[in-house]
Amino acid sequence: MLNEERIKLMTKMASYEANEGKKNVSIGSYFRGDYIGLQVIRSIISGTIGFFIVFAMFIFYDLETFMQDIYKMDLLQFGKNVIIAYLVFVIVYAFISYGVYMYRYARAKKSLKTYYNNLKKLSYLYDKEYKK
Amino acid sequence: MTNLLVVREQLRNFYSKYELYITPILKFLLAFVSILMINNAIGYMSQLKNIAVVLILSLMCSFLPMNFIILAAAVVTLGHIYTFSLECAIIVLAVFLLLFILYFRFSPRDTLAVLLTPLCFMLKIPYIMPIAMGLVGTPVSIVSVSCGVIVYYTIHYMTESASVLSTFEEDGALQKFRYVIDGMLENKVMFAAIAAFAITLLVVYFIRRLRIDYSWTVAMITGALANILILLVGDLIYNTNISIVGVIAGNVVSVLLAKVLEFFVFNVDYSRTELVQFEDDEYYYYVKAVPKNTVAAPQKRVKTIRVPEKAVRQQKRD
Repeated sequence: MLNEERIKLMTKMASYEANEGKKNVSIGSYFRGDYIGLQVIRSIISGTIGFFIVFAMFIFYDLETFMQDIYKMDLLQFGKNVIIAYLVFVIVYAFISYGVYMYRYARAKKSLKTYYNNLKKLSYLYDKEYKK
Repeated sequence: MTNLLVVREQLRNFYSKYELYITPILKFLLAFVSILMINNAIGYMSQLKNIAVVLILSLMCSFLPMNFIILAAAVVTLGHIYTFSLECAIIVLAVFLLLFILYFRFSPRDTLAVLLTPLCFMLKIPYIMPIAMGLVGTPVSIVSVSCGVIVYYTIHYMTESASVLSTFEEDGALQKFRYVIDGMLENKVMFAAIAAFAITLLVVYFIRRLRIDYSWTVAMITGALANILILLVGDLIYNTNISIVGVIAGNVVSVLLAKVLEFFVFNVDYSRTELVQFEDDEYYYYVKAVPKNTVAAPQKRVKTIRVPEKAVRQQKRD
């Protein structure tokens, strides 16, 4: 039988799932640690790529002097500097993304509360109908 | 004023009724105009200037997600610049990649600001961007607007120095590369614009949230004044040679535009008809949910007043 109340509820939920809730529902399927961890790893990867782009531009910009000085300079020191710069950049970036995604997870969970309540209500409606 | 409100209400009704068709059309127009403007500004690659290519790209944009427009615009820009000079293309590619990798992971929605800012620059009304983003966005939107400014000035610089760049020798790739990067980093106008836009956006954002009457209007006007002030100060310090009249006129136009946008776009709930589908154990449901309109537009009623024939005859007789 068609149950009008149930259909209204389901429509509301489907529209939430399709629009503003789309992201939240997918975020809600993760545990907090998993979600934030995954996003931070992604950030580290993209930070690494970003750093290498900037580094390549930097080297290419000064390629002539760099090539002339390459035998004179302390390569070990240079490598160390690059690695330190890389670590500082990536760690700062990872921390920023940690903060951002922590906030986003909390926000998504909050927004999903109504959705979960509706789910409970829906299952209650079904139970009631089957008992009849 | 009442008439305007009625127009707005009718517009809203129209949109919620035909949303299915209007959104793709708007997307198509945005993509079409953006690509045309890019072609106009830096049209070095004749294949991309072909109207059929432009049309096909825009049609693709009309039914793909919004961010595809940005991707298409980026690819077209890169194509043109690549034809112009490989070194410049590498730089622009690096700038785009950095923007996408480092920033737009966080706020994919703001990408539109990056596309619209250069477009508004080409239309000579860039000042609308910080004001509009301050009205609808958050302070984080500063990054997107700044990215847009960087993209515009990078490309602008390349096209302006096109004649200089073409004088470099064939194997002068390094010099070209250096020349462009130096030019970008020493572009005072760009930094002045970024500072002005950032502060304008902040001013607009914070005033808009104050609990005062007409906070939106006050925010727009104060923002525009701040913008003018900072651009002029930037001009004094760095000798950026901007035209003062242009800045003031641009800001006035921007405030007016922001006012129009506020009336028709920002404060109106364009809730739309929704088509959702779901299923349970017994049925498939295809539901069309139509939003209820709380304020109905007054309908025009024509009342005809007929004088009874008897009275007319009576009058004639008298």
